[in-house]
Amino acid sequence: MYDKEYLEQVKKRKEEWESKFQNAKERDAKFVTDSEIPIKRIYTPLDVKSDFLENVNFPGEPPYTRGVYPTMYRGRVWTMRLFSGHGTPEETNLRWKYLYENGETGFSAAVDALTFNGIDPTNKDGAPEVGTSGVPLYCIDSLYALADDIPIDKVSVALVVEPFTCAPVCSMYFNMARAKGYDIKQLMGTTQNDILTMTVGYIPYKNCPPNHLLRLACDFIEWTVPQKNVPKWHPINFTGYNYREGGIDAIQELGFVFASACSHIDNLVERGWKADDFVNRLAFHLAAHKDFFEEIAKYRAARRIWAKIMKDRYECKDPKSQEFRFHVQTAGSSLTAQTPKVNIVRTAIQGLEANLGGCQSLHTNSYDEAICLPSEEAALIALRTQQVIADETRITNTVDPLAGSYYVEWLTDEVEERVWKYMGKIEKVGSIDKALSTGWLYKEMRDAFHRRRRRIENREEIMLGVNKYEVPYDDVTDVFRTSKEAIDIEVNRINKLKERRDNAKLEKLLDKLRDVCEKEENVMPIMMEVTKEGATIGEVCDVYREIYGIWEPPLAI
Amino acid sequence: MGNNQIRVLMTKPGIDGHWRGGIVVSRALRDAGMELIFGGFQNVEQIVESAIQEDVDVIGLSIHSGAHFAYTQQVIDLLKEKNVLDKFMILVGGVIPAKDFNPLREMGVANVYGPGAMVGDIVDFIEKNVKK
Amino acid sequence: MRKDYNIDELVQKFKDHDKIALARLITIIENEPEKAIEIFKHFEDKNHESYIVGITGSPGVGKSTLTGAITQKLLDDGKRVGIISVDPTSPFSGGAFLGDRVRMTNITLHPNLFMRSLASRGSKGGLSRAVFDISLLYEAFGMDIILIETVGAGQSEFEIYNLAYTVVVVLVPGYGDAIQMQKAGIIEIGDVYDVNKKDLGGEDIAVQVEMMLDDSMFQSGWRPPVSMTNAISGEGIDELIQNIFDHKEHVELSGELATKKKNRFTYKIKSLIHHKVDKIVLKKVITLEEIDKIAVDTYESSKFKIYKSINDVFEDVNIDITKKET
Repeated sequence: MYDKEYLEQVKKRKEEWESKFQNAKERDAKFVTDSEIPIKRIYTPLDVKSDFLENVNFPGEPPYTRGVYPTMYRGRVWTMRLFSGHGTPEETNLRWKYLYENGETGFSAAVDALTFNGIDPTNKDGAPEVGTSGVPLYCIDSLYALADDIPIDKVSVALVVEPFTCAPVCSMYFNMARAKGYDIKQLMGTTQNDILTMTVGYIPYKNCPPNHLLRLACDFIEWTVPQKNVPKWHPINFTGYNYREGGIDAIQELGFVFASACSHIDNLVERGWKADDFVNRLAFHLAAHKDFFEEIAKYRAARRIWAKIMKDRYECKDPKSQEFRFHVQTAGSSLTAQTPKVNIVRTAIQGLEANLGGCQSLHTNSYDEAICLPSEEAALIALRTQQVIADETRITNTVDPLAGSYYVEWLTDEVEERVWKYMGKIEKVGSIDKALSTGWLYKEMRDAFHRRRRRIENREEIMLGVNKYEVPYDDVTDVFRTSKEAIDIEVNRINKLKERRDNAKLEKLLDKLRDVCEKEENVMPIMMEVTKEGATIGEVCDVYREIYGIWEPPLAI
Repeated sequence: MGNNQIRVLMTKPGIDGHWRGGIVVSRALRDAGMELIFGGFQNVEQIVESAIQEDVDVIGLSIHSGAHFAYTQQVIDLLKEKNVLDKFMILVGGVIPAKDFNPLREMGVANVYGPGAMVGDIVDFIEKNVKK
Repeated sequence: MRKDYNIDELVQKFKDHDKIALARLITIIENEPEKAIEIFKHFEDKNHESYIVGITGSPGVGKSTLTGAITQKLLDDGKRVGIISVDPTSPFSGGAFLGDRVRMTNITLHPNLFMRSLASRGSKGGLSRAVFDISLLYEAFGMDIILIETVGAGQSEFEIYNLAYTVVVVLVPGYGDAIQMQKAGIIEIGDVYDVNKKDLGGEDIAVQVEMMLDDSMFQSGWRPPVSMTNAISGEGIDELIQNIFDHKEHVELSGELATKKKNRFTYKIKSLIHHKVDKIVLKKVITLEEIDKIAVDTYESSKFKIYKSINDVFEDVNIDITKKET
């Protein structure tokens, strides 16, 4: 990019500069990124090894380093999508309306632990947790209440459920949409459907083994996209976020999500589909963590790596198949219960990373994240944070503004190289469900937990309020409490549904579901019937448990 | 190698699967020379029965679901019913707002550990206060 | 001992079948072995006998889940079961991670089940020293079956062989277990073999085990059967339990059981006597510091003097043990 002679001049000058200032004092600190890549004092054109046209190029064209669309935020600003849910579907509906009135441009359902794990509130072991960490979506009636007066035909809705409950919850949603007169072929939205979300950071309660989860996840992808039932839907978000929360670094995050993506694509290819038939609707969910430039480099490297994987490994003919689309959540684990208002600053900086990195959709955390579920005020500030970036900072004036920074281009290349190496390591273990069931992923996660804890205890990683300028926990901020009545409300909802529905017909349908599960056929068609007829999430998942058994994740401390 | 190690039951009442804290603390307690009985997900009756059969010194409740008052009260009530409440040190850890620490202590919890708590503090507290 | 533990009160409650009392007596026995006499004197009239099964195998083979599945079936059959699960104590910290109970959550509340997790606490044999004593307590409590689960890490197999009447060795596909086992001589101690996690492909291992059994000699005419299980789904568990009970029947009918029961005691008695003798020698004959000094001196003078220097020590010693005058 720079001609050789010029670079020689730069090199000479650099050496002069270095020897002139070789005694300049530097702080006694380790200058490394969060993933421990050593960083130099200065970067120059000498450090940019990547060929511009080949590796950086222009946005909207492979390898998409600069963005998946030619205009990016000049064409359309990222979707402002706050992950929210609490108490009951009715309460969540009100919160969704509040955020929408205030400028949110996408919805995202945070579900409670029972919905996540396919348990009904009538099961007393889980009952105290109804609505305490998300919205309960146990049956089709819940979806009606959640979506009441919400323009789901115009606005994209994310349902953050995983492979174990993806089919029942999404089919409830699609049935509800149909009943309201919407054409589901036009519905826009996402399901997280991510097999990795259930790992040591979050251990699933009475779910089925990973090989079945992988197949269920691919059933949903197959039914929505290549089978064209809900062709505009994004049936999966390969999620690295929860792993980063546990302490793995940016390199591992990309390694895991790409390995997971390849396993899913391989599964669908085995079913007879071509990658070009469905890959364009696969999306990713990444974290925006503390190291500002590393995260931005990570997003750029991710786009380039994905484009290469699609072209080289899956031989995609359609350039659209090489597009890497992602949602970002700012890092919850970086927030503190000490002086929580400082979290607003952290979230703002992390949100900025995501935007400078070209994300398609963004969730910004509320400042009370480390204490409780978001209060209305905190959620509003989180939303305004994104709006300040979009409307006031003018970073949207141009696409990929940090391109050309010697540091950022060098770091993008460095991250890319390391990710390829790490992916080689994962490949040796096998497909993603093998990495889970053999315990390999658990060990990587466990090592990361302990490494992170040690770094914080040694003050190699600073958390203000916790290990520097230590203060006690904040006990002044209001604690948002979810409704105590939620248990009764949800139990009643289900009881009313059970009275109303045709129980004999449902039993027959559940038997059909058992049959489909035993034969390992695609569950979605029967699931659409079963949930339309009023099956609850516990009833559906009990069938899974019956046929597939309950998985006991490997234990690694 | 010794004898009379402090025995701790690490358990999670309910179903919310946030286990990072519980796992990190489990390892720290083991590395501090304690015997860590890992209960995993247990309902209230199972927690009390395990604590009794293992005759532990400490019951560690790991709660990230927001339902800490409900579960802690249920555990304490059942321990009282079986006449064994005074035998156990009860610790609660997880996503607990600071405002709730004192109410939990008033219920009978010996100490509460919120997000980011230092494991060294937990080890020290147990060693200083456990009844052996 | 915890100030509020009163042995007499606990024994009373124990006899009333109180699990709290059983648990506390186990704690006393584990931490204060010298109190065993005081506890056991209350049970001298008890002669209930349990059938003891040992379950061993490398870490990660799914022993706990398997033990849980077996226990569930035994409980369903109306048996009273006592489980002792032993995990290794960390030589560095003295602590231990006892991760067996988590695999048995759904049977925790069964009235006919009692389970205790133990750390090996540096016991030379790998099993905790307290296991034998606890097995006696379980027998006094009225258990029909005692399951002792241990980590097969070298010597603890040997210990379990001298304690259990039927030893189940658990393998898992993919770890070259069978070959390692043959090297360690473990093939000789298994009465029943099981290949768990068969969903990962157990046929190869099962075949290897059968081949090694073909090469072995079986004194008693019992050729260990090899079952394949998936402890999570429950597949194969019935067959495994049947094999265990077949072995039980075999040792009962052949008279071997009587030998094993005697061996369980004589082995423990010998080890207790050795322990007492050790203590006496250290008190009367030579101290630990002196032993240290001899070792260092010998090494510094000539390593080939090793046997001579030990003989010299005992040449100068008169060991005279006399019974007390009655």
